[in-house]
Amino acid sequence: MLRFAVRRVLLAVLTLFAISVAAFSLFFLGPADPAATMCGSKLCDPATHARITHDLGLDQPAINQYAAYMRGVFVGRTIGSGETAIDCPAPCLGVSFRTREPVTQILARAFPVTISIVLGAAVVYLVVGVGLGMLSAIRRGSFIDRTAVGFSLSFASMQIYFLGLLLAYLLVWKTGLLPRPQYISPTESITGWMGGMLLPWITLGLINSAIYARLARAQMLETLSEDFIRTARAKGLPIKRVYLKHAFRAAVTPLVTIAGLDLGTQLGGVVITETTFTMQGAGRTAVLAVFQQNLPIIMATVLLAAVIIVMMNVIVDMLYAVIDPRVRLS
Amino acid sequence: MAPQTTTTDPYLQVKDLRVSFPTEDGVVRAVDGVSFSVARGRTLGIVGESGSGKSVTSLSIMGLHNRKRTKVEGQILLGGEDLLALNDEQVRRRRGRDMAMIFQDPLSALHPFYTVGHQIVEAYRVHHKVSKAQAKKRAIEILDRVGIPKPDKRFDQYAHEFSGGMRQRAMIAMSLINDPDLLIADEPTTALDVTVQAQILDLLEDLQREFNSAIIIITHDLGVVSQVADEVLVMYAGRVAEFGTAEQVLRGPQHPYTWGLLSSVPSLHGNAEEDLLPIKGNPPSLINVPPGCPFNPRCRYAMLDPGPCDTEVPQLLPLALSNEPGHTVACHLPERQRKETYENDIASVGVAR
Repeated sequence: MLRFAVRRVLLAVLTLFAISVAAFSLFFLGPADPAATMCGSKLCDPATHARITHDLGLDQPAINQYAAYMRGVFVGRTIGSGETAIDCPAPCLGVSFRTREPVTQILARAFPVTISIVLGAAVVYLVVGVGLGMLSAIRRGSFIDRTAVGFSLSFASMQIYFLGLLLAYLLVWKTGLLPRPQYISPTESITGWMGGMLLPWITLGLINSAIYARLARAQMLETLSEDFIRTARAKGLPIKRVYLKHAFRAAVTPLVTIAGLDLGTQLGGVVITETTFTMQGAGRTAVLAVFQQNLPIIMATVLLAAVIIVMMNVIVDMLYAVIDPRVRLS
Repeated sequence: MAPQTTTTDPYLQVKDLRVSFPTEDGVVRAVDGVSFSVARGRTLGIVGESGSGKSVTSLSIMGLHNRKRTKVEGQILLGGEDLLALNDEQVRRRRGRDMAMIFQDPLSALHPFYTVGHQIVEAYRVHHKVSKAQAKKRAIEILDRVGIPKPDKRFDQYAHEFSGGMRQRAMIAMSLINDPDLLIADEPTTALDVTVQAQILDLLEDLQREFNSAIIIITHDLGVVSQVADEVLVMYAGRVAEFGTAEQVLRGPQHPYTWGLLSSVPSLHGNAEEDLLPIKGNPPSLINVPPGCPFNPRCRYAMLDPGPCDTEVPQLLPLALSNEPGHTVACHLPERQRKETYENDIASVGVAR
């Protein structure tokens, strides 16, 4: 188990290194001219342009730039020189080309928004989606099953911005059942946070529920036809125990992998949901940075998303080894 | 448990069992009027190809069929009580306690995520109000009894950590922990190595002597039947083709289908390839059973144009000429002709010789 864990973590570190190199090369060796952006594009005189280029270290060889960037991540660094120098403590992910604000601060603002949306929605779709899927598998062919399948089909074919705006219109503006969607930090007001998050949770949760209901249903149907379910019944176990213990345990295991990986991807940013409800999360921040050629922010969001996804992979692998005894041997 | 020496009714009596399920293509008649009985301490072998209705028969006895989609008629008397007249809950309480079942592939029949010990304890605690520690003690005892070495260590292992034979032993332990009076073994040795098969069969015979239970062994392997069965029921297309003691059916088979089964088994004597005389074709679709004798399209001796093999369903009748009490067969061929054909054509090929 320990060897298994160590190997997975080492592999994860290697993966992250490769991603950081790839992202760095793409963005810092690409055709964009960050010095021009910083000094004010076309109005920039060549002398200032050269000074900024030098200050940012952009005249250095790529390998030195990478080293400086990574040093900044782990020990911090000072960006630029003279009176424009910006002190950037670790973990330093550079400064925004536009506002000169350290990227770390920008991310510290954006990620809690994304995390709030994603985790809340995950609770919704894991409970509603998986529950509905399993129920409809157990009651295959019944009214519940047909309703659940219909629900899956209709929500899976909906877009977040359509469902989100529809729900906002119906539940917020028309009836006032839910408060206006907005991000309030949970440290400020926990009820305010929950109230403002309800609509994104429901929207993203319902759409993902549709997918998870189908997955869970298929998984449960497959499990119910397994021999060990017949054995459990042959022992004389009450049918509820057969479903809730034997079948659920086996059917939910593959879903753990899918949910873990989905969660990783979503934590990197849920652009459409964030945009639909005008919340400045990681996804929206990244998209804005792309439009503005704000390379440090792009770089940082890509790297952070990669870290999250790789970490979720490791967690899923380890979790799998815990819940599936057959994996422990390998 | 005191063995029942009095001449009461056999523990399990199946009377005119009919199992059918409607599908989109039509009604599948999986079992069509099958009757048999098994007494305590006796072993019945049910033989037939895939789709002959042998597994459906056993699942109906256990009440493991889908009640909503399956129509089961007739009577299944277990200890004198008709299981088909009971509700789900009443049948469930008997399942595992009065009647238990072991399956073909013990790896897929055991839950992959729970330890073998956990599953055995669970089987015991459904029917006995005992503490976990007591149940564990009992489970280790029975694991030991079925010949699993170091049962206390094995208790905490998973099915995938067992070898095939040990797995089937664990399944047997699980099915016997409640001391059931009826044990149904559905192809218990098919998924095992040949060398392990005999061990498992020996174990079953051994345990039967000890527990005095009635056993049904479902198989397509005539070797298994000859080793353990007291009586043999040959099934074809959901009906009984032939019934008798193992000696009667294996030494003096009367039905052309039984002949076919016997001559499909290679013999160790002489030329194995020349000896083999497989049955042509496939078992019929149970939606569209051929008229008359269901075996007539594959039967080399069928009397057609004019019938009766393709027009009239043969009755299961006792032999008239030979003195073989209890031996019954459902075939239109005259008994004298059957005897001659068997002696001339069949007795010299395959395992029959």
